[in-house]
Amino acid sequence: MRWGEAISVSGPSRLAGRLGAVKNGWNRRVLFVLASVPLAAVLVLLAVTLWVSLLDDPNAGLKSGLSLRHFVALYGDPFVASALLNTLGFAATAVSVAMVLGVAAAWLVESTDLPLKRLAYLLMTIGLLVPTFFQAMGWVFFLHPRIGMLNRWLMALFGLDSAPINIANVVGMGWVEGLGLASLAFIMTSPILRMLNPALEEAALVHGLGRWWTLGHVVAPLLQPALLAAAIYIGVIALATFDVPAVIGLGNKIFTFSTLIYVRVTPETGLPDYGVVGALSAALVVVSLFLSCWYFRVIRLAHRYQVVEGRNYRPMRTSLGGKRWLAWVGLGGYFILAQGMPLLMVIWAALLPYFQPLSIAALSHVTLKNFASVDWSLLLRGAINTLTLMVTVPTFAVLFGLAISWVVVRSRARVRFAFDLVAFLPHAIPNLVFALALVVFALFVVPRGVPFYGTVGIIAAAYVLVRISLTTRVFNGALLQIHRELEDVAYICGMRTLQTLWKVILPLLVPAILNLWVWCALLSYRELTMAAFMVSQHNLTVPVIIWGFWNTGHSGQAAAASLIFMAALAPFIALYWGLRSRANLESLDA
Amino acid sequence: MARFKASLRALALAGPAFLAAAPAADAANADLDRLVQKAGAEGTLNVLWGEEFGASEGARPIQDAVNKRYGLHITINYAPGASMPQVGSRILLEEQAGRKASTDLYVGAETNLPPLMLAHAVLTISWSKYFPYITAEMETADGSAILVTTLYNGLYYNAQIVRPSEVPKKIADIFRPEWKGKIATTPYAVAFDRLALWKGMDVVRPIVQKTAEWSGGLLRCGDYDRLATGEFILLFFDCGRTDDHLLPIHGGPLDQVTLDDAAMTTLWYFAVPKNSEHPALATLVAGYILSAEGQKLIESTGTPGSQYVAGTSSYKHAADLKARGIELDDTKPDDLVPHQKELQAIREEFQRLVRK
Repeated sequence: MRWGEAISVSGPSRLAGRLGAVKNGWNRRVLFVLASVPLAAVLVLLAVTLWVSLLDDPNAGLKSGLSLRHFVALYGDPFVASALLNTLGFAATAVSVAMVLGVAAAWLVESTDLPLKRLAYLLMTIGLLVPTFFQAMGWVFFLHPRIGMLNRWLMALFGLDSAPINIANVVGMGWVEGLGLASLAFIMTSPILRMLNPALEEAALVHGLGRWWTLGHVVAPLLQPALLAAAIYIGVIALATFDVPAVIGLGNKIFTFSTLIYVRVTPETGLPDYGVVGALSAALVVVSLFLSCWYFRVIRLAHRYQVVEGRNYRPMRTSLGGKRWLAWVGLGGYFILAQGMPLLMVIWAALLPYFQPLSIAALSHVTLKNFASVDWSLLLRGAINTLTLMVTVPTFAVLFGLAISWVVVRSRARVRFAFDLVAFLPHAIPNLVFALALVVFALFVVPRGVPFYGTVGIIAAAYVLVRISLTTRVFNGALLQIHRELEDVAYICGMRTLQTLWKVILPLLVPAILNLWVWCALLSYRELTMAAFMVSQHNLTVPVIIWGFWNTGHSGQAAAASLIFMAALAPFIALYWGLRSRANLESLDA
Repeated sequence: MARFKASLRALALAGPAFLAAAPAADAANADLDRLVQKAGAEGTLNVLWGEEFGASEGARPIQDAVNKRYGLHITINYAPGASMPQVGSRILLEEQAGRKASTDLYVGAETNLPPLMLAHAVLTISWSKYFPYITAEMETADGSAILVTTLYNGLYYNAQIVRPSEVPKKIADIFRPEWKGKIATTPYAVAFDRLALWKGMDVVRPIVQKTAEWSGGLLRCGDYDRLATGEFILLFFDCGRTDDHLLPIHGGPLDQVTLDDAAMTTLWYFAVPKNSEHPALATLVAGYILSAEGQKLIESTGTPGSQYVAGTSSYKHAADLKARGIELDDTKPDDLVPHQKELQAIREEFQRLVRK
């Protein structure tokens, strides 16, 4: 018999329980409201997206009639099928690369006695500040069949007629994207690994089972929800990602969904074709529903993954012994490829009047002119808005995400799976369509007196809604691993839901919250598509300024502006990781 | 074409006289005085452009020049915006919702304007009433837009790879066997649609097919760095020269050429959205930029001026093409208004072809 059951039969306790239930009812309503508000907004925007896809001429807005022509045009085009195959191949490769590298790095950092962990945290995240189009260009310079340095060297060395390596294919694109997304896999899985109780692992080892067998049959199944959530989340990002397919794919006539959308919404002639993009979103919603259902099947048996308990919870580190430095060689190799090379490309581009491959001859063109020509007042305007977004968006995304995850994982409400389903949907909709839906909503629904359209607020709202998918994936995984007995004890001690959440659950979730907060802040810094679509005089952001330079062939100025902002942010990120690592280490010591 | 030639002839005869007389005409223009007064009261011009007219670096000199010319103290607030088509789309939606436009002054190409004109989302203005130097060929028939910049579509090439003797003069020159797979075109098949309207689908479809066969990849407009690096040796059609920082005059490796048998323009127009927050100031600034002084100013930012304003690089290029007997297609928004659906169908067909 459990404690809660024993207490529920006693008379006075039943009365106390009822009073507690009333108070708890109010507490839970607060959480339900917090969870419902953003999800209601998501549903409204989805409805707007569907409406846009059914408009004969979306640019005519309310004056347009309804039509299915966009669906017919899209799904009747055989080229879309080939783009779909490319997209799936690209996404599968990217997810595989990201998960293998990201989870391995997270395991090394969180579950072993790897030295210099603070540096590892810093290296895994600092690259997020580098615009990804530089990363893609770096790989073009490295492995392009015609201008790739490695290919040139290999051809000269072995007297080859053609390039032996070609990055310009679906797998190559997936590799480049996966390297970048490994940081996200790291961020999403490291809190889970940090909280993993090694008791079961130790039991397996004590019984003579090998380390690899234990890893595959004990640790991996425990991590399954978190790994699946991360893989699904990263997979959907890869499905919609634009930079790498635009630079490497378009340059070789390899289309993915994102580049197909790009051509439709940023034509050089006529006006954008938002209807087709809306129709495409419908397909992506179906894919995301399928992925969500798969995820639900896993978390249906949530109790199996609860490994953080009140009694014997004592995270431990695996000793790497003499292989510690070998681990650093691997991490260093990853950092050089995924973070160092793009950073080098940005610095290189910032010092040149126009983009050119690394060479001795190009050194004669090195100049600081790009830095001198930066418009500081414009950059300052963008920086203020960007910093505002970097503070507000993560705060609200984490708050809403936690409330939704609590409803999904902890409540017994019948609608909890619907909550999770809706929370995941913004991730599946192309960001640009989401931005369009929000613009339409702001223009035609929000009263004119409300300062929303054209403000930083509309961008913040879009970012928060889109990020809820990420925060709920991570919080779901983290909450699943915290055994209910901790909350049961808190309730028995008279705590209410919000108090329990604040005093019992949140302290255990601190690593996840901090990781998410920083990650959401970095994503807010990087986000371009939605900001560019909703830009006005009052909500200009740094990425929009940088993209403006890049998009018009001023890569040097784009790189210079990127470096200036990165230099301004890097000390804060280093400080954060330093404090966080110290706090975590101290808490573990305690 | 006859209209174009007549325009050039008229401009050649009367243009300089107009321009010379412009300041005097301004001084005596009561309509302009009223416009200047209103513009001064409005005070601030919010513009959402791309990198047109030197972006933020270019906005300040324009602001200073307008203030000096008309004795005002206006401010131009620049923000780098989305693409011309996207901003055009937003203006349409904002107008329907009865909201203020995101930009007080819209810059759009001749293909972006017809939907706005058809929806009456931009103001129709008697431009010549305020600015006598704005002639009929510089504005749309209803006065909804004025031509500010003429770009010439042709091809961008890497002059460090393509030898002077190899620089294509005609479309056929592009398809050299050794260049197969090394050239690029745009994913939107830019300019081919207008070439089809001009020369006919039967002529242009095979050209697009051959371009697709020869091109190894697709480049976005503005992605000219990919030519500078040598990844591709040329881009056909290009989107028109909008900036000169990659040209040899600035030490860059790229050059541009207009083809003798496909000389076409991309025309950028100014239009004042119907719901512009500062319409008088937008009108004044647009009108000023079309003056000889204003055109010289934007050319100093690297953006070409109008083919109809003497002294601009575009004017000289048009005169050069004319002297060489090369026919130039300068399709205007008014010409495209009746062909919207046809153009859309052509674009979609050509975009399918270039992907192959």
